[in-house]
Amino acid sequence: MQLDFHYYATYCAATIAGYTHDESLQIAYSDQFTDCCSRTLLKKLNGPLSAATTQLQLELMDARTDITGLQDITRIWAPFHFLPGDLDAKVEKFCGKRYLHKYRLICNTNSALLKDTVELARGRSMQAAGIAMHVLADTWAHRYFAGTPTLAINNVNYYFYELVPEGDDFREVKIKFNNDPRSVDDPEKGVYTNSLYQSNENSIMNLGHGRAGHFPDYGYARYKYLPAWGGYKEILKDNPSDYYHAFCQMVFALRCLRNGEVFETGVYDFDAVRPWEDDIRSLLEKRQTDASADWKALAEKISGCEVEDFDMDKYQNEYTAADEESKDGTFLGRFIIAALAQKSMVTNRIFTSGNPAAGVSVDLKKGNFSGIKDFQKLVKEYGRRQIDV
Amino acid sequence: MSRFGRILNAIAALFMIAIAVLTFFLDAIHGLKLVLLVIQAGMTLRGLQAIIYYFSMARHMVGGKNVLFRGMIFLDLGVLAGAIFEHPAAYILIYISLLHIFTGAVSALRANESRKIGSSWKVKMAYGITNILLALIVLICGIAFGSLRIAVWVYSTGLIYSSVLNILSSFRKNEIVYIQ
Repeated sequence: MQLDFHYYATYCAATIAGYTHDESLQIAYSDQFTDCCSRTLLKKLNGPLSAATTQLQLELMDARTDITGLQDITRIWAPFHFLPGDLDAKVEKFCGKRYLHKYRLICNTNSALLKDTVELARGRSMQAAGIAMHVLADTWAHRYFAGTPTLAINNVNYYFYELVPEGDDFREVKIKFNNDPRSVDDPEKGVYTNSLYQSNENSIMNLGHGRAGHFPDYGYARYKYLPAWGGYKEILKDNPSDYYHAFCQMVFALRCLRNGEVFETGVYDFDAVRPWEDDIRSLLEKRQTDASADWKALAEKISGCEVEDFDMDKYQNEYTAADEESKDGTFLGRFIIAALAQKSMVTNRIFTSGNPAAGVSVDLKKGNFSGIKDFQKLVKEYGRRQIDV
Repeated sequence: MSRFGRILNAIAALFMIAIAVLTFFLDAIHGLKLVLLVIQAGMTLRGLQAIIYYFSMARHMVGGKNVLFRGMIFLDLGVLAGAIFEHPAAYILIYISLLHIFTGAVSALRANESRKIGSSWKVKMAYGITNILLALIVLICGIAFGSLRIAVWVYSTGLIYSSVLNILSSFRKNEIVYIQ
């Protein structure tokens, strides 16, 4: 998903769930900031590098794809953008562990990990709620792709068709992919940019939905294709419907976090969203690669307040100017702690399922492991209960 | 390409340059056999790598049989290179030249595809054309003029040139699609 949904739609969901204008803005900001918090930015802010929630293009280009490099990439993309759907999933035919471990990282909606993600944000900051909403929303857009570089799972082939509404029916348009990152996606001609085919299993080009380009991130996209992992079974994705479910699930999750109700997967707050259903559905059907303007107008209609545009630099001065003791209390300080908690929890779940794809999860109490000093912040904030690094 | 991959590519290219230089000091037939040995090792390893990948991962993948076929073809070419080792030099020359014509043609076709979509294509095209020209010159020198020594020298010079191109392309910037 993109800024339009992660920022403006999340603001709408938070407002409908009962949060105030300021709280909704904070949740929406944290949701979108998950796509910005790279190691490059954290270096600039002198923040803990382990809190990175994304990787920039340049960082990805330089990323190592040996075992530890792959684990590092997986620790960033699986917890925040491609939450695994079933860590105990079985493959129909016999397969080796290497394949099985990657197969089990395939992202899907309504997983046990999603419940854990939302529960982790309970009683915590607005930033924690924002990160949880980012993860939740991405499970809908990124389902069927894995947050680790893998050709055997993430590759797509020439069989990729968009279903364009035409009257009461749909017209099939074959999607043409090109590999030029400078070209702009053209929904009218059905030409989209994707990553280059690389036969190397662990090439960074095979991360997430890179082989399908940005196409899965567009709200209007309805498409069918053959995923590399599906044994030649066609997958039909209906983003307008999925994004509407994502929105209603966000409203439900935020309501649970606000009112102390138990979050259950597969539950959607359709009733609360009903007054705006037509607006949202028509917005999602509109064939546009950036729906920010429409979502912003709807956000202002729902809350009656002006919604400022997303500004990545908004809280950076507050964080850099704060002294060491008060850093964790700043907006970005709270975001960093929430990010460390999410990364820690998902890494632990993947590790304890017997899957080494995201690395080793250790208890800080049991020794001084190099490279995990950043997580002491989390121990201090969350106490012993959540120390899964 | 990862940093490790780039370094590995550059090391392989430097190794090829060393082999090419060595052939200048050997007599023609030994130089030719040294080149064949390197090709044999490269093809066999590449073939085995693809076959292992097929059985561990790609057999579950849509289109994964292509990986198996590719591996079998490379392995076959590697075995074939070993089989013609003791044959007359003309056979070795024809084999090496055909391999380079094929590699060059694939590279040129890929470059043309990249050019059509506005992506970088010049280095790929230069690599393809060099390979084809090299193979043709080797064939003409070795078979038409009967000069094995000149053929080996020309081949070695071409090998150095294409290795330098490989080093350059290993360290040039590339762009990827950013996923959000």
